[in-house]
Amino acid sequence: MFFELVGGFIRRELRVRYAGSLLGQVWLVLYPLMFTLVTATIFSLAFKDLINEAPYFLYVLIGTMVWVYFSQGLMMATRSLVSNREIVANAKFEWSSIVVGGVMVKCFDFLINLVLFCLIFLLWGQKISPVWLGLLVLIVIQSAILIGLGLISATLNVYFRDTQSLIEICLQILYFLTPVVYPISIVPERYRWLVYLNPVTGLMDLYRNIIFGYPVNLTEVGFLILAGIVILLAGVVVYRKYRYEFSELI
Amino acid sequence: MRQKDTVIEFDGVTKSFDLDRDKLLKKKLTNVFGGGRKERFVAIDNISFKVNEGESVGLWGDNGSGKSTILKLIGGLYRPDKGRVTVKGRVAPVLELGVGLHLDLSGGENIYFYSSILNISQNRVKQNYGKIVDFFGFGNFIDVAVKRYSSGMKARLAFSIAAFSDAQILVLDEILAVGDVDFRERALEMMRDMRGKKTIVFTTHNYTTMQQLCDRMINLRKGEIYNSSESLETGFLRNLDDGVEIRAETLSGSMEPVIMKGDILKIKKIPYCKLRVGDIVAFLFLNLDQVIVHRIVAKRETMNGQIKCYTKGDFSYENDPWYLTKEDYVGKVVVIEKGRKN
Repeated sequence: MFFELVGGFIRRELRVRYAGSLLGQVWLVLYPLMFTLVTATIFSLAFKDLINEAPYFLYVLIGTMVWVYFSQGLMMATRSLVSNREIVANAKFEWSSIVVGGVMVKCFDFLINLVLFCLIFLLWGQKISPVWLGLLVLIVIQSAILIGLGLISATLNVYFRDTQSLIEICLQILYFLTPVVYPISIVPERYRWLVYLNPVTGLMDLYRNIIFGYPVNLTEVGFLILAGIVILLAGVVVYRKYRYEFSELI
Repeated sequence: MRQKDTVIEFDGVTKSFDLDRDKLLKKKLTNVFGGGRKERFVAIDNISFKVNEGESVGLWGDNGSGKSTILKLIGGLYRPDKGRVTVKGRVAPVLELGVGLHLDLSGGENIYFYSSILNISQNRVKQNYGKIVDFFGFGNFIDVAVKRYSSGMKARLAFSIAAFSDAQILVLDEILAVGDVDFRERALEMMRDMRGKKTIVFTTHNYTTMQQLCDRMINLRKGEIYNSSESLETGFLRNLDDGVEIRAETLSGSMEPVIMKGDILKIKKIPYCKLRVGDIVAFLFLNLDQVIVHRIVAKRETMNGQIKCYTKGDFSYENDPWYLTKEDYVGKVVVIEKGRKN
């Protein structure tokens, strides 16, 4: 039942999203690509030499894709309950399915982007190794983190509409605290903890390590799995505690 | 027949709302620190009633009398401030005017989507898809985006979907207010078919619909149940529109010699405030499922601004004085036709 609901919301969102637009799903791929093109061109002048073996463009492209999934997924989840307020106010069902559906829609986009990334990667003359299957684990972890955070922020947003604006600003700041366009090595040693406090950093490191064939630290993976579970559970707890008031307040 | 179980029970339920629904953080903070005064609106006040399995119950009352609040409490959307709401079985709400239909999706896609938020399993929808489309009646529109539908068509679609749900309890809020005569007829027929099989709780402002559909009516007034045990006829009389005339035969002689037993009275609803001393009025009396006809002998305003009429029968001026309030007032006797016996 829950998954039918999630499926319903994903299908609705995908079906509706580009209704009336000419390029349709092309926008999906165009966004991170253009974003990367602009940032890569600008920042490559500064950081090019600091990224050892990986081509800078690919380094930024995968970083941007992971970041786009994270930020858009969180924004989508945060707004999801409030933007479906008519339904939440009038029908009782597992409303968390709206939040999960929101994250999953962005996950779908991310998967399409990853396929595109593979193509570019191969065209660049690089080789794909079986280690890439590890990416699936990372996607699951990232989705769990997003659903957990999303349940909390969507719940908060029912009470205070300021939440979505606040999160938007936080994401802006977080973007620069995440090594999307720069390598972690340019951050001075004593500030590096600040960047590592951010869970997206660890996640992004792992994505890159797998893709570019650097050694993967399994303790780090274990830590991220743990973080994913804790955040997801926290989200479920918060949602379940406050959902009784949603219909009334939304 | 076996004893029907109680499926919905309200036990002393009170629900109030915060009128100050400002969700801005600033406001909340000032409330926390300034001990902000909260204004609350009591939507329903200490309400108790039961609905048995298979019963069809209509909620009647003015806007703001608490009908929708009760429906939402049944649907589990609200939690009561006080008292207890017990509901056994799954509830399918038909949302007002097809709220929940997605405008960019086609009718067919909405059948699946809307079903899922009404907790109807997709398998069941697949089985009933043809029937739903048939009942909806605009098969040629099924692939068209719902934004091109008229409001009547949207309501038809929503009703058709909910009607084929497997929920045991159906909650309908003003769903028959839109839609043409043909659809109303078919929906009423469908609901009549469901009577006895499904428990239905609905609201309407149309008395004919109410009479056709419900076994029992709950009369709400400003969040309180006025008289849930009264018959439909009584409820009907209580809620005549201004200007409506009804005819009734006299059964007893408390107004002799002006009105004799067997006389036919024409009773017209005129606004309560326009009644004057000396008028002969018809009114309901609690516990007596009858209409009483008396003459107004005095009019007075109570402390809280309500007008009360003091009435008596002509026959025994000393006895049976009754107070008439606006709630019990049926109409003014305008014509007395002498019965054949006289």
